[in-house]
Amino acid sequence: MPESVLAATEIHKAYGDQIAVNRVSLSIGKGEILGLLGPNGAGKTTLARVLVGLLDPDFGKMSYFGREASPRQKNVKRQISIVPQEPSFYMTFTVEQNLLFFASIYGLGRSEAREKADYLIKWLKLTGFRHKRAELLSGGYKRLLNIACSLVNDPKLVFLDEPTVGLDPKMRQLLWDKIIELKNQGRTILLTTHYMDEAEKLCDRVALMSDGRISVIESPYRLIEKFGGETILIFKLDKSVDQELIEKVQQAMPGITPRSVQSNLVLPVKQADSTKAIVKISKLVEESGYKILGSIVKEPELEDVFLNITGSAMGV
Amino acid sequence: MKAMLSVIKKEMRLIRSQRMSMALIIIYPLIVISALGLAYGGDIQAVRINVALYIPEEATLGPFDSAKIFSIIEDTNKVNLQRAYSEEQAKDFVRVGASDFALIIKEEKTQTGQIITDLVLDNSNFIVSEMFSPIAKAAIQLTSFEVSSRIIQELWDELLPIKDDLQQELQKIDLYLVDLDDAELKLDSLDLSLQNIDIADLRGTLDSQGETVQAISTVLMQLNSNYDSFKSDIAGTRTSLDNADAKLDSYHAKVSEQIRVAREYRDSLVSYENNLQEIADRPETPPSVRADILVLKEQVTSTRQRMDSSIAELEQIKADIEESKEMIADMRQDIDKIDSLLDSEKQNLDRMNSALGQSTGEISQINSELGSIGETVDEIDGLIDSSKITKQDVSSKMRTSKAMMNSFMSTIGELGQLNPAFLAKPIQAFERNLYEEITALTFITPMALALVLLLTCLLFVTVSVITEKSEGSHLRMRLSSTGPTTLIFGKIVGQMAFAFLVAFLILFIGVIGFGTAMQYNLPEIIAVVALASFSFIAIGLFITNFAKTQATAILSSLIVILPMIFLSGTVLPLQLMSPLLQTVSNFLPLTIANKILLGVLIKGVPISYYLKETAILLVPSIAMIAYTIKRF
Repeated sequence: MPESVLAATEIHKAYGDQIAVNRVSLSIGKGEILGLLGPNGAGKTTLARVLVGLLDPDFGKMSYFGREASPRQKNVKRQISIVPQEPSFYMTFTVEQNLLFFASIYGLGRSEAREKADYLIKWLKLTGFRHKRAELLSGGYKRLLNIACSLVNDPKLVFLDEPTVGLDPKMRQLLWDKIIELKNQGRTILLTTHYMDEAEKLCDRVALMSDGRISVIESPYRLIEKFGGETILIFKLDKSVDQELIEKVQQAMPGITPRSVQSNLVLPVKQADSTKAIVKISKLVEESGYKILGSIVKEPELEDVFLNITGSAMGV
Repeated sequence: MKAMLSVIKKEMRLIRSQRMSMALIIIYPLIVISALGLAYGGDIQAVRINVALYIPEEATLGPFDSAKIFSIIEDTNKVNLQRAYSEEQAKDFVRVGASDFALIIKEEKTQTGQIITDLVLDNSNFIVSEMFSPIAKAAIQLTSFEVSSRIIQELWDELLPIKDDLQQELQKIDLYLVDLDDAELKLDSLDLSLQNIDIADLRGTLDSQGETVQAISTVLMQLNSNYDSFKSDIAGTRTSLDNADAKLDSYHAKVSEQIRVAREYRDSLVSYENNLQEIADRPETPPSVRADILVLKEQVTSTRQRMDSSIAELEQIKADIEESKEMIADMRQDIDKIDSLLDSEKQNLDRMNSALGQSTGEISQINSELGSIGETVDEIDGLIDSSKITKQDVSSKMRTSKAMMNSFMSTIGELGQLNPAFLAKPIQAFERNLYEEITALTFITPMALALVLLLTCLLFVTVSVITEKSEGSHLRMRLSSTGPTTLIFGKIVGQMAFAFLVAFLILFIGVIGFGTAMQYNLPEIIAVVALASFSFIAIGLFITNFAKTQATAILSSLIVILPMIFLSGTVLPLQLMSPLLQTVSNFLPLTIANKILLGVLIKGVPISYYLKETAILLVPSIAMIAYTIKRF
C-alpha cells in the first residue's frame, strides 16, 4: 500500500434525521485515483465536502499526509483542493482573471501566479479563451476552467466531484485524459461519479457508496470479478429456439441455464469460460440446423457489481 | 390568455415557494407602516426645543438685569435653556446640535429702548428651522409681554405715592410765595432809590480816568524832553556833514592832480619803450647789446603797465569821492525833513498839555459830588443786607422743595423715557440663519451623500456576497489558505473604494453643480466617508449571513434601509418623534452618518467632536463583521 495521503475513520454526518454519511472509513494512497461510486443521494458529495473541510462531520477522524489534522488548517488547505460539481468562479471575470485571483488567495506572488495561470491555460487548452468572460464559455470549457481554478495551488490531493456530468463524449474524453495526466504528475485523486465507465476507466480503486455507507473498496477489475456475476452470451438465430436445442446446450455445458427469448438463445456463463463457451455453443447450434445471424457477449460491469452488492440498480 | 394565467400562477407559486421572501413580504409593510407611524406620530405642540441663550452681563431690559431676563425666558415653559457666555458659544451650541436655535441678546438697543435680539436658527435643516421658528418667536413674544407687564406694574406702584408727596409740596410752595412777595416789596423801594445811582461804576470810571490823565501827562513831559534832544542832535549832524563835504572836495582835487602826473609819466615810458625797440631793431646793434636793450625794454614795458594800473585805481578813487558827495547831499535833505516834522509835533504836544489841564479840573469837581451820594448808599446797603438774609432763608426752603420735585421729575422722566414702542414690545427679535450665505442645496448634499452611501454600500455588498455564494466562488475562497478575516476585510476595503468614488461624485456635483460651500478638510472628509461606508457595509455583510438568494438579500436590506430613512430625521425632524424613538434614532447608523457628514462637510465641526457617535457606529459594525467572519 503506497504512503497514505488521506485517511478518514468513522466519518459521520447527518442533517437532522437524515443521515448523509454513515460512519464511513477510507484511505487513499499517494498517486492513487480512488473512485467514489454510487447513485444520486448516496452521500458522495457530502463525504467529499467533509473531507475537504466545507462541512464539519458530526464525528470521525481525518488525517492528511500521514498526520491527524483538520482540513481547515492552513497547511492542509494549501495541499488539497476540490473541483466542485458546479462551476465555482466569477462569471464576469475572464479566464485569466479568475486564475490569477484564486492563485493570489493561495498566497502566490504575481509572477508565480501568472506562470501558473499560463501553464494551466495551456494545459487545459483554454488558450483561445484566456481573455473571454467565464459566463461566455460553453459547459465543457467551464468545467475545464473549474479544474484550472482548483489546481492553482498545485494540490497534492484533489477531489473531483462528478467532473464529467452533462458533457459530450469528446469533452468527456478530454477530461479523462487530464485526470490521468494529473495522476501521472503524482497527485492523489478522489473522484466521485455515478458513471460506471468512468470509474472503470480512471480509478485504481472504487468505493461503492449507497445510503451513506461504503459497501466495498476494491479495484474495478476485482470488483467485477468478485461481484460482477456472469457473462451473458446471446445468439440470434434464424428461427425460434426449441426445447431440443436447449437440452443439447445443457448437456454440452452442464451447470448453465440457457433460455430462449423468441429466436434468441441466451446463456449466462462464467466470465472465464465465455470464450470457450462461444466456440462450443456456436458449433452446437449450427449442427442443430440453426443459422447464427449474430451474437452478443455482455460482460459484467460495475453496474452489475453495484446491483449485486446493494440489491438495487445505480439509477434507483 | 391561458398562457398568461399560467405565468401569473407560476409567479405566485414561485414567490410562495421562497419562504424567507414570503415572510419578508409580509413583514415588510408592517415595518414600513410602523416606522412611518412612529416617525409621524409626534405632537408638535408638545415639543420643547433646546435654546442656547446669551445675555451680556450688563444687559438690562427695563428694570430687569441679565439674571432676571434669563429667568423670565425660562418661565415661559416653551424652551429648554442652555446658558452661553458669548455669542460665538451660543452659535457653537447650535452648530454642534446641542441646541435647536440660539437667542443672542445684544448690548446695543434701538432708539426706542428696545433690546435687540438675534434669533439664530440652524438652517442646515430647513424643515426644522421652519418648524421651530414660530415656537422661538412665541417664546420671545411671551417674554416681551411678561417684561412689559412687569415694567408697567412697577412704574404704577412707584407713581401712586408721588401724588401725596406732591400735595404737601404744593402747600409749602404757597408759603414760600408769600415770603417772596414781602421781600419783593422791600426790594422795590430800594430799587427806586438806586435806580439812577451807580456809584461804584462812577467811582471806578473816575479813578480810571484820573490814572489815565496822569499817565498821559508823564508821557507828554517825556516827549517834550525828547524834542529838545532831537533838535540838538540835528544841528550837530548838519555841521558834521558840512565838514565831510569840504574834506571830500579837497581829496577830489588831490586825486585829479595825481592822475594828471601819472599820465604824463606814462607817456614818457611809452616813448622810451619805442626808442629802445628802434635801437634793438637796428642792424648795426651788436647782439649782446641788443639783448641788453631788449631786457631793458621789457623792464620799461612792465613799469608802463604798472603805471596804467595805478592810473585806473586813481580814476576809481575819484569816482568814489564824487559818489560820497552825492550821499552827503541826500543826507542833508533828510535831516531838513526830520527837523520840520519835529516842529510840527511840538505844536501838537503843546495843545495836548492844555487839554489835560482842563480834565484834571473836572475830575476834582465830580469827586466832591460823590462824597454826598456815599452817605445815601450806606443807608441802602443796610436794607439790602436784611433782604439778603430773607432771601437765603427762602432759597434754602426752595432747594428742599426742588430736590423733592426733582425726584418726582426723575420718576416721571423714567416714565417719559419709556417709549410706547418699548412698552408694547421690549424685545425686538431679528431672525438670522446660522449659515448666512448657504442655500438649502448645501445642506442637502451631505444628506444625499449619506443616503447614497447607505444604499450603494449596503446593497452592493449584499448582492456581491450572494452572487459569490450562488456562483460558487465563495466556496473557493473558503477553501483557500487565506483566512476569512483577510477575505472579509479585503471585500470591505474594495467596497469602500467604490463608496469613495460615489462620495467624490456627489461632492463634485454638489460643489460644482450646486455651489455647495464645503469645509475642505480632506483627512476629515476621508475619515467620515470611510466611517459611514464601513458601517453600512458591515450591515450588508451581516444580512448575507441569513439571506440565501438575491431576492431575500435585497428585501432584507430594504427592511433595514427604509425604516432607517424614516427614523433618521432625513424626511421629518427627529423632534417630532417621541423621546423613546428619538433615543433609538440617535443610535441608527444613518442618523449618525447624517449628523457627522453635515457637521464635518458643511458646519466645520471637527470630527473629534463626534467621538461618541463614532463609537456607536464602529462597535456594532465590528461585532457584525466578527460574526460574519465566524460564519464564513
